Amino acid sequence: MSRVILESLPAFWVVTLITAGMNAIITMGLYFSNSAGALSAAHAAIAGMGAYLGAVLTTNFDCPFPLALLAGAAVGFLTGMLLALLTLRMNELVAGLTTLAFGETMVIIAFNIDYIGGANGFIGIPLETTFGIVYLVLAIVVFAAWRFDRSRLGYAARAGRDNAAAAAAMGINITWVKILVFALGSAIAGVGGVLRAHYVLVQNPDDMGFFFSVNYLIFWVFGGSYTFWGPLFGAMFLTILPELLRFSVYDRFIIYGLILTAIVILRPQGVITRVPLGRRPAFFRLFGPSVGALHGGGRED
Amino acid sequence: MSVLLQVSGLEVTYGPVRAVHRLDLEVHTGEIRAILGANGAGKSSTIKAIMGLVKPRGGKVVFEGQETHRLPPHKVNRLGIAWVPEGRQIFSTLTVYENLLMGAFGERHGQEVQERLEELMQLFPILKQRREQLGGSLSGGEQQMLAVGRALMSRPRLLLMDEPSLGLAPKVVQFLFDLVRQIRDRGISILMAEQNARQALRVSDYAYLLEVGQIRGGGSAREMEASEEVRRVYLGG
Amino acid sequence: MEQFFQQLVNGLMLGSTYAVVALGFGLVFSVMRVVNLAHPEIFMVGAYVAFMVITGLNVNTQGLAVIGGVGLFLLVLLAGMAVTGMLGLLVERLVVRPTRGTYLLIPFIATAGVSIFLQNGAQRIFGPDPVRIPSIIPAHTFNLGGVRVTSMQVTTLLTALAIMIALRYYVRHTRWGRATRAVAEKPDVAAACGVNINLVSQLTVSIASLMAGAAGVTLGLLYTSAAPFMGLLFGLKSFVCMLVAGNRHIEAIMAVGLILGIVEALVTGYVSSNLRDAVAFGLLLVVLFFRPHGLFGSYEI
Repeated sequence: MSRVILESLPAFWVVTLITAGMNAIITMGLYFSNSAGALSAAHAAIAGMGAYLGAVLTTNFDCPFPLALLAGAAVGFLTGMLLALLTLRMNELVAGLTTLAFGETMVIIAFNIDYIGGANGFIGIPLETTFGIVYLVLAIVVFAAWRFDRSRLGYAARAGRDNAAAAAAMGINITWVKILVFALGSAIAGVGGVLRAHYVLVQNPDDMGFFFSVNYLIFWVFGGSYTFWGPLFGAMFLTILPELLRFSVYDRFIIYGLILTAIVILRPQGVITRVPLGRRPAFFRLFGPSVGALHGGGRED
Repeated sequence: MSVLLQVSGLEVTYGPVRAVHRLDLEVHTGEIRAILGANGAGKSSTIKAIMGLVKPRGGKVVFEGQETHRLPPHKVNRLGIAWVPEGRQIFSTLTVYENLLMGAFGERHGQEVQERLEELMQLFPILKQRREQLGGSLSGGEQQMLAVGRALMSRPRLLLMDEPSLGLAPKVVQFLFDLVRQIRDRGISILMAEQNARQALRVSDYAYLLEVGQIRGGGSAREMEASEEVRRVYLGG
Repeated sequence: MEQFFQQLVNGLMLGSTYAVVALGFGLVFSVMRVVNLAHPEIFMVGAYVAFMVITGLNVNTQGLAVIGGVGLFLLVLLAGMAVTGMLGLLVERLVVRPTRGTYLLIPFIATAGVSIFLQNGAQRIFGPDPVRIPSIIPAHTFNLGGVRVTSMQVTTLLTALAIMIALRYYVRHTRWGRATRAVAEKPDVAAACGVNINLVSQLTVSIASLMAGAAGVTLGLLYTSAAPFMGLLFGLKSFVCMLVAGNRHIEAIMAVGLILGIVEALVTGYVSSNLRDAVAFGLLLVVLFFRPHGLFGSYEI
């Protein structure tokens, strides 16, 4: 079936769709990780760490690809646990910044390890990722997200995000939930990283940086962070958009920047706030540091 | 006595929550009027709506003949209304002196501002003493005085006070309400939201009862004090 | 020993520029509760304005006397500040004002869109490679007991100092500076005192942008080049300065900026230039580790 689709599309679009799919996987990972109130600016780094491990395994040790994927997940999971523990007591902003610093530190560490290529990156990675594999993994992740949303863990996470004190009072061990959920999302990101490395065939330290992590955050917020459809849509739309705008290399990003800014201003709650085809609205709430009516929105004179 | 402030049909909502519903009230020149009610009754929301800090869903606020409910707070202030917020809310990172200057922000003439400052220092000698201290280092009572002083700096014709007695020692509360009377005697009308009904009625001319966002009754202070129901519910029998 | 002082001085120059840009970040964040991601790009615009003015005027920079050179420098500086100031006003009106007070990420992403727009716009107009900015201050190297300082370095430092002093004066001793501090602390109350919040918003963002522009001009002249992505790393480090210093005192941001510059220079000179970029993040991690409950105490500027 997929072969039919693939044959009928120009190769260029296949590349774009695969990239979009991989971005979607990592963004879904972000969705899981942030669902208990965390704000991760490290997911590109986590994905990168998984990528490096997976790449080393397949390239240097001839490991079968599925094993590499698992290794990526494991690294992601452990890193996620570590980060979650580290930022447990911090407020949202500071925690986010810590993840940011973590990511940047990973970049610098990777720069300095010659075994994985140092500044030149790790090359010679075998091509293992196909359209089929990416979308299979994505489908699994989406299914997992769907089940997650309806599961006790999902409710606990969202309760913890919205009101930690009340959640604790209801008997939810918010600490464990936060850590678990963040680690799960990081595992997914790790898998995404491995997929990416085995498609692009090169893994650079820079790929783990702030810029890419912010990209995933943008996909997540832009799409609408309240249901998993949001990040899915955000990643796919924002990956495909620049390709649709292919007039020139620079012009399309100029327009991309404008579109991004405009939509985020016009729809701060995210593009998707309602479960598509469903009657249940994703409840939008203006959360974040509330600083009084006057820091909110511009009143005209 | 003319009508200084007239609020009609005020509706204030926060999302799905209706804080104030169909509220009518007035303040006449030279009066002290009180809004009495329990926590969460909607007193603060009413005050904030008058000040322009909260945009009402419906209704009108008319001050000295001018509609103000669509104006931003700084314009409401320039028209002659000042706000003493709930919980003091003085600028803790500014000095006492700077706090007072902020009160007169709308006034550009330095001379004028200095004169008002002098007057206030006479009214609140303790502030003169603490002039260069940071607002955050003052005691609760001193902060309240600073908040009131700051509001007076703009020479308002109407003073909005939100729960002035909250968190203050009884002696300070006494001083505060005497102060309120003094302010009225200087020609400034006052609308105050208060939980402490006893003190509020002692000093007001007229009072409204606010329950769950709606006015349940109103009358002169004497009438209120005499009323059975008020005695029972608000004055503790 | 000489090398130590040399590095110290070099670091001071760079650090003063970090400080200026960090102050701009900090100003907007503490007053508007907005992280303006486009701030580093405004810095970049400043450098390009310098490029355009100098090459546009087509002055024979070789034969300039000191007076001429300084005069020209001031002209370029003012031009840069004027352009970036207006750019700041535009960003405030279109992007910051509609999104302030909402969830922290919204203005973050909206300004990210602006930065993408500006980066690629610069690439489009000037090309992806750095452009060369002719120096206009007559080159002269002062020798202070073995330490060599160029005239451009001195100019950079003096400009930065002038800006910092001016900002401090504005914030502490002027009516609007006072109003700005009040808005940073309690915007509702400030508004009820007669302060036009929108005006303060405009003022704040413009001032921050002016400062970024000035830093861009001086840095562009110091390194005799401007490039579309020069704002990225520089901005990130300045952001780190702001975070490490916290919001309490303007002087803290200044100090941290200078310290960062000095430490970076020392690390480059004595350890390895590869680790130079790690200093900022190392610093951030250390600070976050010891003060996890946030660097942002009360909101003093």
